[in-house]
Amino acid sequence: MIFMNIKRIIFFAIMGLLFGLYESTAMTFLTPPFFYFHPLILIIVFLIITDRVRESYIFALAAGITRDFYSLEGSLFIFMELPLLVFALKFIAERVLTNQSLYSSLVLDSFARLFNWFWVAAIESLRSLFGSAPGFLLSDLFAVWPIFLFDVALLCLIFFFGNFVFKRFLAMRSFFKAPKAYG
Amino acid sequence: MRRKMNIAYAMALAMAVFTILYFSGSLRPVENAFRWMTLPVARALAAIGYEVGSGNDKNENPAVMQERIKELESRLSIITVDYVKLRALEEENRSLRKVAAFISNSEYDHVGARVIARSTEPRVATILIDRGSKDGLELGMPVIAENGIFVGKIISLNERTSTVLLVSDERSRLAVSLVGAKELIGMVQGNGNNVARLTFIPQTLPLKTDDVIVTAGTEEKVPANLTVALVNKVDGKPTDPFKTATLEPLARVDQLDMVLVLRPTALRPVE
Repeated sequence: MIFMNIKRIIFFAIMGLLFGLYESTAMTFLTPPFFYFHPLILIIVFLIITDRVRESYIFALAAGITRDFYSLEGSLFIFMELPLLVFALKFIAERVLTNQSLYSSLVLDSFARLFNWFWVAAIESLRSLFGSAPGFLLSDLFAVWPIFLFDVALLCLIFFFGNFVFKRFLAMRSFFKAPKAYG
Repeated sequence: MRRKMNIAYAMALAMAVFTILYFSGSLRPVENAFRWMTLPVARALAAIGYEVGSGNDKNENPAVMQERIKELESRLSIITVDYVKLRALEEENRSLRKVAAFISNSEYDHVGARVIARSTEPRVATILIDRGSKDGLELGMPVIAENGIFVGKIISLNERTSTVLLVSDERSRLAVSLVGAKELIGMVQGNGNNVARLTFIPQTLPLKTDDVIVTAGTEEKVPANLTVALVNKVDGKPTDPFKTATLEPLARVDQLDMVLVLRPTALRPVE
């Protein structure tokens, strides 16, 4: 199972590219509340919670490269950040949380948003030291809250409809991975 | 466990190699090919985002809109008087040009570009446009909105895309003069949040509200007399060496969809 089906690789690479393009282009024109929909991290969390680790690596790499190639002022090393985030999320999901509930996904999402903030803060600070980029402000952390709340609302909706359509209290992994058994 | 470690090492190695290639510029052809392939999708997504964003922006508070309408109406009445004066001057100018057989040649043409991304941080005001060095663009070239208002300069260039630093960015500096005058009157500095200030205004200069600020033409690639903004309020005590003024932008940079890059005709690529 090391090598994924080539169709799945292409599918998740294209999805990563499209969502990466969305975050780089369309999202920047949106006004609140639509602006708070930042799908990349949300999708990665969802892929991890449904135990699709390899797919999430492919998705993260494609999205990261797209984000960096369409960055306004030089790379923010998103192509490194997102695969590292997948690695960290997988570790937390396996060793700390050990279940696939809504609460686990919320913990993973909050960790992912903080990780993303620290990463961007570190890179921006380094760039301001060595270049003309404006420094990163701690107050920018407050901008993460509405995005996180939007994630919470979407994850709740996904779990609600998942439980409503399939069967309540079944692990996410089961009903996403084996639709025939529960469909 | 060992297999997992090998995968992690391989990934780390791949990232390191990618980083080195990226910074050495070896990935430039790959980057350009990637942008060439994805630019149509980026344009389409940007257009959708712009439509959704501007549509949502229209649903503003009616009370705020009413206040804005009143303010604009009062300004319109002032501008109408100026317009009549300007029409008379325009007629005079036209006849003078005819007499002197003056050939209008600004030595500039323009390249239209779509805005495909913009910065989301309030302090940073940059946009990404879908034209680059392949279209004859160069660093420092001025970018104007469709109605001819100066909005910024190119600060970074790729083969197919460029980044534009807008006037309101904290790093932006622009030498300006008053419309119709030739001398430099100050420097426009960005303040973030779509706001810019005019600084280093000599105390002796009689600057007043609604004066039109234009580019001074002292920078290499920025021609003179491109409209930048209107003076909103002049600040400063008589004892200060210089005055400052808050400016009212004439182009809403947060709603830019299409822009024009001014290019000297000598740099036009051979078709």
